[in-house]
Amino acid sequence: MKLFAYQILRQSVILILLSAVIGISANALRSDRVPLIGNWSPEAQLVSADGKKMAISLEDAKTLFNTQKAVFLDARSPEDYTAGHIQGAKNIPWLEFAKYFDQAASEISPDQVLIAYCDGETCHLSKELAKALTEMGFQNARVLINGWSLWIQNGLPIQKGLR
Amino acid sequence: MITKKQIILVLRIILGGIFVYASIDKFLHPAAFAEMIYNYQILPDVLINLSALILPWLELFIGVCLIAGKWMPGAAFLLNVLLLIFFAALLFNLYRGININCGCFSTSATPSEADSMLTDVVRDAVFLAMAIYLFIEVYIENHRRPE
Repeated sequence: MKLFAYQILRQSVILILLSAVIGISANALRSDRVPLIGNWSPEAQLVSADGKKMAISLEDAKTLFNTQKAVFLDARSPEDYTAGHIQGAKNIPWLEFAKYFDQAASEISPDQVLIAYCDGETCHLSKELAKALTEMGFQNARVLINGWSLWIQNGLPIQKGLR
Repeated sequence: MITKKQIILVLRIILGGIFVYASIDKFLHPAAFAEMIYNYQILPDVLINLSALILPWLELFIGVCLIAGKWMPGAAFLLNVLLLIFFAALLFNLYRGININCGCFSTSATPSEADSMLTDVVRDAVFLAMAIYLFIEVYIENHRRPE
């Protein structure tokens, strides 16, 4: 038993080490190598079809808000929007995109910076909205990840009720 | 009359072949495989790419060892460990309701249906049962004729 366990341990360790050494070396020799430690953060994951980074930092969003150079798009439900949203934001609930898009589209132009947001690090509503808008020709659609929570935490201007 | 020895040989070749085959697509598309691992949402970010680089080689070596009948204690043990991890990861995500492509044999990212995930789980369970039996036989064999 002792010998068997020892064999398992020795052979397993050698196989794993061998795989690690060869795997990492082989990767280094490839032209399409991947970084040993990848960036899997939500920001890095969020790229448009043409490879552009779509996430925007709170700082940048704030600046654009203050200079009124961006339109904020609330991707959450109308109920959430009515309960409170970023000041001046338009509501395009992603789950009812078709219903709300036309009216919102008449108020935004393709070259305008659009900042979609919803609530929570993993909330996908704003990402889907921004990606859809990009595909429709809105070149500057961005996402403020976890936007609503960040906005409130930083005491930035909000408003309640309908548009 | 089929002997136990023949059954073991067949199991070794089937499981070894599966592991070698499963490693091929992962060698070809490491980035896509890393994406697969990420989609499982189990490993911490820093380990995703490393796993994607090391796992295909480990699968290949285990497969070759099984087919060649070399280093059977280690190979059969790692075979069980890996199958157990894959099985647990699939079950975990089936339970969580996360719909992922298992990335078992191909790294192409077509989202899979829940029932096809169930197929993956059943298939893994069969592999695991075969692997456990093989490991037990390797253990018995090892104790009959100690080196």
